[in-house]
Amino acid sequence: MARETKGIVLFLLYASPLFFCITSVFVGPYSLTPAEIVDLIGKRIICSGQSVTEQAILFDIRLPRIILALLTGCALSASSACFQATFRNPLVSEYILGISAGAAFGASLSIATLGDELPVQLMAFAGGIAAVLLTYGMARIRGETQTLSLVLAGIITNAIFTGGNYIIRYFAEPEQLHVLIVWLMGSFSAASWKDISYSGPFIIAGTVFLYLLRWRLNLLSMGDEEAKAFGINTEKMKIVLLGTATLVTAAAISVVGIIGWIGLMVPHIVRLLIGSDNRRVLPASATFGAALMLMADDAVRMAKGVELPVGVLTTIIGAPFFAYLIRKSRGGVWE
Amino acid sequence: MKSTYRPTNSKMFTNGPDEHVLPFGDSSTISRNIKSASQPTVNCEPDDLSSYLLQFYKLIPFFIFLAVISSAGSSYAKCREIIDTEGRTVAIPENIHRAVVLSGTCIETIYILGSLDRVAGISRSIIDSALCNFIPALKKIPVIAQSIRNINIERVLALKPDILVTMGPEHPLGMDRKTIKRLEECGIPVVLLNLESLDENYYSIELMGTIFGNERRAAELISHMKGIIGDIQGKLKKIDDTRRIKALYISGARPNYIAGGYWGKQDIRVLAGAHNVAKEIKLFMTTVSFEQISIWNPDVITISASAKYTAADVINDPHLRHINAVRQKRVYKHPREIAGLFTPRVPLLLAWHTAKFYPELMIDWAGITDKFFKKFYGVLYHGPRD
Repeated sequence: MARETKGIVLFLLYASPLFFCITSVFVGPYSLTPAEIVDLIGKRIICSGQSVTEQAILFDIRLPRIILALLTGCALSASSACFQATFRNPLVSEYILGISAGAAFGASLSIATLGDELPVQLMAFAGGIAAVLLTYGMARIRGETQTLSLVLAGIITNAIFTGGNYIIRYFAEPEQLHVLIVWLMGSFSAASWKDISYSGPFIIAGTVFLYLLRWRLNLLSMGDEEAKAFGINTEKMKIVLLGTATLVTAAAISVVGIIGWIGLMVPHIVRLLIGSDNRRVLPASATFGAALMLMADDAVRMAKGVELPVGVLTTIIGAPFFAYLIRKSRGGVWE
Repeated sequence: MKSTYRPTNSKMFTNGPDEHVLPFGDSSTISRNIKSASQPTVNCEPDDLSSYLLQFYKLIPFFIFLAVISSAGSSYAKCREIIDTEGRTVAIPENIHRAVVLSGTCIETIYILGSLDRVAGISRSIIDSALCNFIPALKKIPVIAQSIRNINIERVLALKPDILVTMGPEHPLGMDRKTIKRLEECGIPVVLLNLESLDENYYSIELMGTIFGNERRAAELISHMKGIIGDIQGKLKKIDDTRRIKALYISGARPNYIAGGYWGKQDIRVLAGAHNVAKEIKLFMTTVSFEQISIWNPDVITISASAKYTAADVINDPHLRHINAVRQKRVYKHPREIAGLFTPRVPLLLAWHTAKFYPELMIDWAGITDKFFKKFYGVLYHGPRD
């Protein structure tokens, strides 16, 4: 790819969230014309409170949803890019360490058995973190954590929490079961400023931190021995990177539920477009992931009446699209 | 000795001396089933002694003699037929000593009829419901299944039940056909009662009265229920169409998890004189966007007792602050003690809804509830009263 073209592509990837953010404001079942929206924003700025319904739709329903979708897409894609580089494995997604299974278990526990005492978000977050600690504890042998043992421990943790989840589901009441299933599919339908205040700080701080460490990902992706030769304490670095990526992912999924495929797919698309230099892959994944997530949510948001969980859409569209990418790149995506 | 159960104290069941039409469901199927049941060939399993009794009626005295000397209380000695709400004709023993009941809506009726001691097994979902608060005896009955969908046939058989009462495949949460067939092959009569309307509710109470031999108490319960409902409907006539309020029913973990147009065959909100804003959505429960709720803009929001949030949470939810119901603080959560749908307590739930929808009608739902609890459950109502 020519240098200029690559520059344009990179610019488009970085700018994509802004473009979708603006268009998304106009999308939704409640019809608001662009003129009305501009008027509403103007009134908001000069604090003249009029037309309560439209104000609420724009500022309490649409905007938080757009921002939460951006944050979540950014979190899932950036952490996935980090996982893929650290594990030196393109098949890895943000769920490799058992985060999703742990979060699902925590959420199930809250929805089906605990009642109102512990909120779903908190339990899902705690579940995700607990799962990763378990994985790490299992994989750490004689003060070292081999990549392979981390993957295997992740599979074991996944199995443990999935099993626990099945037990809860089996004993759950039909109505709770439905709530649980909807949660497991992930949705932004109830996004609020409160959700953003829960997950936003973790996601933003974590992603910025990963961005600052992006060049170390290049070193780690060369392999433990080579990285050590460059004077990097790989063990410490892994803990810091995986810990941050875990925190970012857990913060995102604890609020919106589990949304599949975005995390796995986005770094691949980005690598296909701009190559595998992690210094660019990480930020481009973060921005493009945010844009793609928002686009997917806009698609489900446009529907009148019943709303499909966005996780269903990302999986249904994501999997075949990924297959298409692999065919198109003649397997290059695996490298 | 064989008799087919024919509901008698309700006009709607009898169109003529030979034709019985149920007021709900596909009445043609039901009549067809009833007609086929009245043919000489009987719908009993071939290994069922009752079919032999009919075919070899000359041997009846001999069989009766055999039955008496082999086991004095054999439930196969006498058999009668009833028709369940799915229109199936079921042959059941004359006297029920051991019943397995998997549906919460029926266990309550059985308790009111004073026959709870004849229930040998129930499902966990019955224990988990609010019923145990005022029927503590339920806790002493063995739990033999998690829910209707997860039953272990061996555990059912081990109880040697005379009958099994549950919801059927026509109900969204009912038992599947395969399990029903297997139970029947094992010789257990399965009565399917899906309570999705007032008429099905009355019918099931009447049927329970017949099955457990307490028709008088059943009739008393039905007449009390009809009295309350008739009273409410009379008052609702004062509300003309232009004054009908728009209602939305929500549940689950977030307030955008709503009940659609399918809530049984009769919508309690419509019975209470409101328009269900979500009636176009032909689903039991589903998630919609808050923008969709804004388009509906309901006047009153009711919350299921099992929802994970309170009325105050909904009133303080920034997504809903512009909705009529929230602005006027007309958001109410079902009291657990009267929640649930078509149970014998449905008149109480209806009174609660009507009182919330139309306060000007001055319906004293708490007073009605007190009286009902005292009369039929023998306890005081302890739930919320506001």
